[in-house]
Order: sequence, then structure tokens, then C-alpha cells
Amino acid sequence: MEQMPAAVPIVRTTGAGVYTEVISVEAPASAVAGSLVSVRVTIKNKYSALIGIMVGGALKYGVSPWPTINFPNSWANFPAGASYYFDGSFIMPAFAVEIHAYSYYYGGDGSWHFDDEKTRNVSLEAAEAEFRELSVNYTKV
Amino acid sequence: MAQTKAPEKKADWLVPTAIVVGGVGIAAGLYLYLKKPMGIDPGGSFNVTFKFNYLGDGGTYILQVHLGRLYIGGIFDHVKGLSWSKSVVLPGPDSYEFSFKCDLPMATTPESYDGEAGIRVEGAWDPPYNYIGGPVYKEGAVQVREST
Repeated sequence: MEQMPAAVPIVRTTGAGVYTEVISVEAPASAVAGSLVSVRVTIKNKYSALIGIMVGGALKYGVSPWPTINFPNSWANFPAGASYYFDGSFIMPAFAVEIHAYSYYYGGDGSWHFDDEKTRNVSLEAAEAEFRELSVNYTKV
Repeated sequence: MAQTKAPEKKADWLVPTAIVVGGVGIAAGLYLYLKKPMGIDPGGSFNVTFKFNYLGDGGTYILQVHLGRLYIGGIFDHVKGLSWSKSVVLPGPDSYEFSFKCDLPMATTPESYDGEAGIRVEGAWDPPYNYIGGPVYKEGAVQVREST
């Protein structure tokens, strides 16, 4: 049977890190376009009891909507005061990106509520020399 | 007294007539074939082949093709709807060759199109079309003819 997230009975104003805190966002300082970039987001439960916490992430680099970061396991029940990390990844675009990592808690109303955010920059490594002698031919089928 | 019947004359017009009719048919077919303009019918297909050397450590890339009009100065006017792509995974440094089929929409306007081809990364694909390989331009890459 699938575990259910533990809920915070009272939902408060969100986006201020009331119940959760994004402790850190770990990612390489730079990456080559097209490469797989790993991200580790550590979140802390600031609530006085066990609650369900979910991670989210998006990439800001000039396109809309912001592409999301893939987290295979995106939520867990955290004991009071505990910290836990979530691993995710994304394909590096041809631009420098700003990672936005989010934390959400599970409310007594049965919904996930955005609670905290932290950012980290990943610059683009020069990749011009990766492809050489490109030729393209068009032929009739 | 026995009568001898003169041998019946064979119809010698049959073979020449067949040759003439056949020749006319072949000539007509050849004329129609030659009269048909070169190129691809709207709704038809063409193949595009990328060849390149890759020096990176591996990754997922998109081979991107656009048809349009190339102007002096390298400005390329992309024709909406005439764009194709293929996702490829490159495990590491090597020489690679990929081909994929591009189907023209039935509503393609018959004319000569220039081609823009390049390599990009996954994700949203908006202007300014940042390529990390290429782009390579070819004038008159694809000729689309009147549908026959």
C-alpha cells in the first residue's frame, strides 16, 4: 500500500518557509550544453511533527514556461526537525541557467502548498568545438 | 484435274503497325516524364543526412532541419511548418552519421527551398535558435514541384 503524506493540520500563508526550508541546492557550477546535470536539493522540516514534504524545481533561462527538473522521488514524510535530500536532473540547454528549487508541505486540506525556495546558477561551458566537420545532404526519397 | 489454290498472302502490315504504335506510346510516355518538373510533390518526402565528428563526453542532442529562404548575410527566413528534428544520444567521441525522413505537408507551396540544418540541445526551441553544431545552409536544398 502506498504511503500517504502526513499533513500539517493548519495551512498558513505559503512561500515564507513557515514549515519547511530549502537548506541547499547542489549542482555543478558549469555544464556543457546537452549534458545531464545532477541536482541535489536538501530540505528541512521546521514543523513540530511528522509532515509530508515535496520538492520541485524549474530552470530559468529565458524561455516560458520554465522547463522543470525531473525528481524521480519527489516527496517524503519528514520527522520533526529532520532534513532530507532529493536527487534530480535535467539536460543542460544552450544557455546558462538559474535553478529554482522549491519545497512544499502537505496540508490538512489535502493539497501541497508552496513554502520555500532557493536558487543556484549553472553557467554554460563552451561547447563550440564539440562538433566538427558537420555536413548535411538532402536526397529525394 | 486437280486445282491448286494460291497461297494466302500473309498480312504483312501487322508487325510494322505494332512497332509504330509501340514507338508512339514510348515517345508519349517519355514526353510526359520529361515534361514533369523535377522535385518532390507536396505531401512527398525527402531524406536528410547529418555527418559529423563529435569530441564531447556524450549527451543527448537534437538534429534540426528547417526549410526556408536564405538571404545575403546569412539571414534565414524560416517557413512555418517546414521543420523537422530527430533526437540522438551520443555515447562519446566518434564519427557519426544519421538520416531521417522528412514528410512535406500537402499544402506546401511549390517552389525551391533553401535548407538550414544544425545541432541543438533538448528543451524549448525558440528564437534565436542557438545551435551548438552548425548551422549548415544549402541553397536550393529541396525543390517542391506542382502536384501532378
